[in-house]
Amino acid sequence: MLFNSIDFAIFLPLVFLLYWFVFQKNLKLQNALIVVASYLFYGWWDWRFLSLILFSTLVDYGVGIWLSKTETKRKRQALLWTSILVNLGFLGFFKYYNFFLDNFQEIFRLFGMEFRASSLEIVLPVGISFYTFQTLSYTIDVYKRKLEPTKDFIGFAAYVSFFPQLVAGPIERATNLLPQFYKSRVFNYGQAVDGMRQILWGLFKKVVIADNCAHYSDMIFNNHMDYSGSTLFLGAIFFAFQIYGDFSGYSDIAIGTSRLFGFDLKRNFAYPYFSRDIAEFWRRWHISLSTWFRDYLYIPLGGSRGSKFMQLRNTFIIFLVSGFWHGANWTFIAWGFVHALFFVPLLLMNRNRKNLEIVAMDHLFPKVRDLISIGITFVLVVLAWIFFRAENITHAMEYFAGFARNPLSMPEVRPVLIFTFLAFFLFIEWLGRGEQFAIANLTLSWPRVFRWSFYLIIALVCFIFSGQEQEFIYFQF
Amino acid sequence: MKGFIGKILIFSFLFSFGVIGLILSQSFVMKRGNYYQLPEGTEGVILGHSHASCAYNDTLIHGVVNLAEPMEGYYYSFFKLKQILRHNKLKYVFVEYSNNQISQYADDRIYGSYIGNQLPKMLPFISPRDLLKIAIKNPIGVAKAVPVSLKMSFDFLTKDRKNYIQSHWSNDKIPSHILDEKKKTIQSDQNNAQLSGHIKNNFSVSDLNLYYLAQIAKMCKDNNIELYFLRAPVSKYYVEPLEPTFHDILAKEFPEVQLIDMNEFPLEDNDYADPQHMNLNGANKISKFLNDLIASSVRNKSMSINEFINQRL
Repeated sequence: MLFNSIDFAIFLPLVFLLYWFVFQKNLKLQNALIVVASYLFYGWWDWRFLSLILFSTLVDYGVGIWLSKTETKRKRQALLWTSILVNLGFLGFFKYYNFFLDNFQEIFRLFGMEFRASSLEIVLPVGISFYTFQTLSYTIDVYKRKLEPTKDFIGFAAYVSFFPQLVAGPIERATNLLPQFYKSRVFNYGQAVDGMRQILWGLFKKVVIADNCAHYSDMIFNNHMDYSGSTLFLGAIFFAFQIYGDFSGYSDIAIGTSRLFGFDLKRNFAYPYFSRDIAEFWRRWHISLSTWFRDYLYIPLGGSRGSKFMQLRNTFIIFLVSGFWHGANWTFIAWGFVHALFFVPLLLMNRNRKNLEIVAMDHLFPKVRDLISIGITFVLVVLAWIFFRAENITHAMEYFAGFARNPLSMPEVRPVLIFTFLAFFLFIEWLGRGEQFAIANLTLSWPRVFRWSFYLIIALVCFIFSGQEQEFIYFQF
Repeated sequence: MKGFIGKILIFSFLFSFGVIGLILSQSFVMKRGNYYQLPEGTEGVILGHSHASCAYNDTLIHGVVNLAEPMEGYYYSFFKLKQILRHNKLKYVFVEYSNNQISQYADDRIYGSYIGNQLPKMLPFISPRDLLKIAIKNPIGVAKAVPVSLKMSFDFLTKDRKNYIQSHWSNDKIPSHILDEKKKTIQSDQNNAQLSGHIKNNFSVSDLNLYYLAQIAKMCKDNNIELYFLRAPVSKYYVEPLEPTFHDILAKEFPEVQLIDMNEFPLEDNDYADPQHMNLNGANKISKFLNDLIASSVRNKSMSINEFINQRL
């Protein structure tokens, strides 16, 4: 079920009313309702893959229980590896099987040998990378004794399948979300209103910004040989806004929806396009994944401790793995590699933790130096997105080569309406850059009539100017 | 909680009010704009769905513009004609009356899964009462069509703003490809024979589509416009199952309307794009014939339509 569909517009109020009016007095029933609603939400797309979620839930619940009863290190390690192998096994099979097979065949061919195995027609289950990482975090935290294993199966099943963030995150840690299923929840007016505002802004990002930019970025990327260099660069910018609007919009809707049910999810984006360097960009982009890799991969590898060589090695590993997480294609690995290259100079100069505070805090305009830094960082990010969007490495290379064709000419594509929306969007995001989401506090001091008019206009703009209904990009990951 | 739900309801009400206001404004602006001029010298139009849009090449038919579009039911043809008559004077209207237009299948194409094909571009011209008729049948389909329609009108008014007929109702869809080898035997294909049985067994008479055909007939009468029905050639497997009912309805409901039936027109398999549609070869043959027929039996009335057909076929 898509957040920007009529199905969801019917589903959400129904679940909300049942949750707060019918099952309000019984925590277990509320959690059971969340499980049923979440399975319905997921099954709307393809019910067959519910078995994967259920199996993953059963395995990690069981592993958690056994870990609590086992003190032997070897047994505990065996249990942890069981969970890792089951979860990553599913992920590996559904997402990476054909990729590895094709590449093995290529390698064998390079050495003049024939390796015959036919690739499978595998459908990638929506959101498998997200819920796999979420359940893994539970097992790892229980193994590390950071978290008490739960005995409440329904609560655990609700944590794994929680529908607002099931298919595209934020990837929630068990330490943050799971305890919220144990506590009885009381309806909080402020939290719910805030949630609605965040849903509205998320919808604007998705249907107005992302879907409209998608139209032009698809057109330019799919016909890249026909356009001038300036248009190709514009196409990459459209994609940058498409993916940001799409993914951060999804996260906003997910977080807002969770708030309606009394849950607080982690923040996933913090205005990444206002970053002054790549390190800051990665502290602000897909935060739940970056921190997951930081805590469960980067730090166990040694993190920023040790020699410069070790730091560089760890940096490349985490960027390459992060790229590969996005999809079984060399383009994603190249995307990760390019970001690692952008990061290296900051690491070598010990400047990777320089810009920790919000840019131009307490000022309306940034300093010229900050503005230049933001511009340079944005251009680097846009160039890297070309790998991410390209069908394959050749496509990406052709796209880059196309920059040489009339790079200073006026772009052939000039959608005035989209430029207007982007200008409005950036303006609002800039004003709200200190908040959880751009319109969190923007209108609170306005008279009610203006405030409501603002929300109404946003809602009507979403209604009229929604581009062609598109799935969220991150569903494929 | 009550306060929250109350505010959500108020917001939803204001939002709905805003959407209705936009639809009404869109209708007001689009209906009154001068965007519906037919080419100079146009005396008649052809309305209908894909059979007609594929069969008639209007560059070969003097004074006639083909406005038929794939999947178009009479519901949409009615409002299209109504809007055209606000801005143009016509002498004749040719409505494609084919076998599948009399079945409930044609009703389903108005409000069913194909609603998104026609409703967005026709919405500004449909009255609220008529819109309600399909909104009851498919509220989600109508709700999905509304924003598409608003965006379409916005784009037309801000970017194009010339001729809505050319930009949204023009017929440029005559397929040029030839019937492929597998379907070449359109008159003896076993699959087509099975289809024939399927059509017969699943047939029930249309309500909505035929109601709006009657409305078209009434509108033509009120405006002193001669109305003719057209039937383009299709495979006999599409024709035969419903042939008696087809003629019964014609005789009972539309006794004053003459059918220009070209189903017996001699054609080769390579005149078809598929068993239901002409390709450019076929369209050119049919269109030349229709042009001559209009010249002698519609415009001049030197001989009756039946006489012309009997003489030429």
